[in-house]
Amino acid sequence: MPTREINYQQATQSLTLEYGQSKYSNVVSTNSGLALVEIQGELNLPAKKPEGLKEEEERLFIERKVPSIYSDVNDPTVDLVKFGRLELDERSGHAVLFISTSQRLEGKVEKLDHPLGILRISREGDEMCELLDVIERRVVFRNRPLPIM
Amino acid sequence: MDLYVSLPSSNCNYDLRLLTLNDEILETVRNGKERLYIKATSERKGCPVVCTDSKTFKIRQQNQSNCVMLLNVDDSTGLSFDRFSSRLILEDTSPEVPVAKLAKITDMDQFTSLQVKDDGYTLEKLFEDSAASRLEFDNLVPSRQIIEYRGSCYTVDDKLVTACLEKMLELLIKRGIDSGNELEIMKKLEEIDVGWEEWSCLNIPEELVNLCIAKFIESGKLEHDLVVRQFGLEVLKKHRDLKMDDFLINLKLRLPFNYSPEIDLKRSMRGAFFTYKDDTMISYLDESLLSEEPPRRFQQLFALKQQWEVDEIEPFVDRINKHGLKIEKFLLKYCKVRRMGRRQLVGRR
Repeated sequence: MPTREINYQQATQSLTLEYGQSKYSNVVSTNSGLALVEIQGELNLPAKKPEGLKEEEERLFIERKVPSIYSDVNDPTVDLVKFGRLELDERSGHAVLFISTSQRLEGKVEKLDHPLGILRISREGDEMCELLDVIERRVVFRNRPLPIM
Repeated sequence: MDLYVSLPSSNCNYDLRLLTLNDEILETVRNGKERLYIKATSERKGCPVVCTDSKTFKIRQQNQSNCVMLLNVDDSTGLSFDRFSSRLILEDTSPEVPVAKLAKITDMDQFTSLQVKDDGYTLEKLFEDSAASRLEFDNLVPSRQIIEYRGSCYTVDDKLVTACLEKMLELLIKRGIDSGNELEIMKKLEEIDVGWEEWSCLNIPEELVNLCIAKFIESGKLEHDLVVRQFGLEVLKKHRDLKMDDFLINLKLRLPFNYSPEIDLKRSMRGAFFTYKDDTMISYLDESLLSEEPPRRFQQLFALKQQWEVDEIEPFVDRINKHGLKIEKFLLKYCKVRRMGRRQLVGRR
């Protein structure tokens, strides 16, 4: 039975850091700056960045390096598209997700019954798995979108 | 905070999965002391498992229709490079050792004929093939009567183990008598301190003696219930069905002379027998031969006996109670449970 060791050092460090010690600490992200957002349905995205975009549409796209948690190849980049703006009230945990200029979703920050580990598994070879982080809260949007008035 | 989501990319060589962490795994991650590993069989059957040093959990994939995004949060942006359509859930599971792969030693003479193997199937290889944590594996090896002999693993037949146990007990009792403590033999069996030099006079392979020590002696104390079970099973398997009085007489006659433990059948023979005709008859029942389907298993059990007491039927339905429900609650799903004085009786619906 093949066995793969799980290296969980990063997750332990993230769990043992006290609140406020990380530059990312806020109501929803972990100490290493990861957060979970859950919305109903699916996101329909183009397979690649369309050509011939207007200046206004072009501003929605950015290019970023793929974070090292996804790849150990040197400096790969990927196109990202803006799909909304998230506003969080840290005290009440109330969250609003504005999509484009016409819709908004209302949600909240929830503590997970069982924390979720982020497990990284290599696609090739018999490399060790890694438990990168432990997520204890998520932002969840359960309602249908509302119009922005 | 502006949110961005990545377009499909082939630049990633790692997959990220969400793993639901139960209390045990979370504690392991917090402490950072134990090993954590995934084991998966290459065969079609069987689930992958996650093990700590002491516990095993089955991994199940739960799909979800919602869009779950993992964000890399910055001061003013949240970048999602990954979305999840499922999560991995950990469930309690019984640890397993692939005993079927092992040859069985049924005769003492076999020990001399077995050849030394340099590339044999060792205990370490058996551990790698087992869906069990290290601690669970170490406990399962003696209880399943597995030994590593001349570089290979074997299971040892019940008869051989019983014969070895009998000789060991006789030696311990003789020691007690020789030291003038004939009346305190049972007390002496609570503090066993015998080295290999003494066991070696039994002319039994060391591996078999060590198996019996691991199975029947806990911190120098003889586990009487396990000893009674070993001999009791031999008697029950031989007769299958007999009067309770006859069984008890046969069992006491089978136990070594001067060895007189307290016999509590419900404790020591749990899950190996049932009684009928107002507890005057006893019958052997092998749980592994019963159906894995709960309705069918209850049908089989009620065909053997129309009414069971809860604690009598419990060991025969433990393994099919996959969600770990309280026994009364589980029984109510398939049978009629009624109280009669202090007794709780389980019958067909």
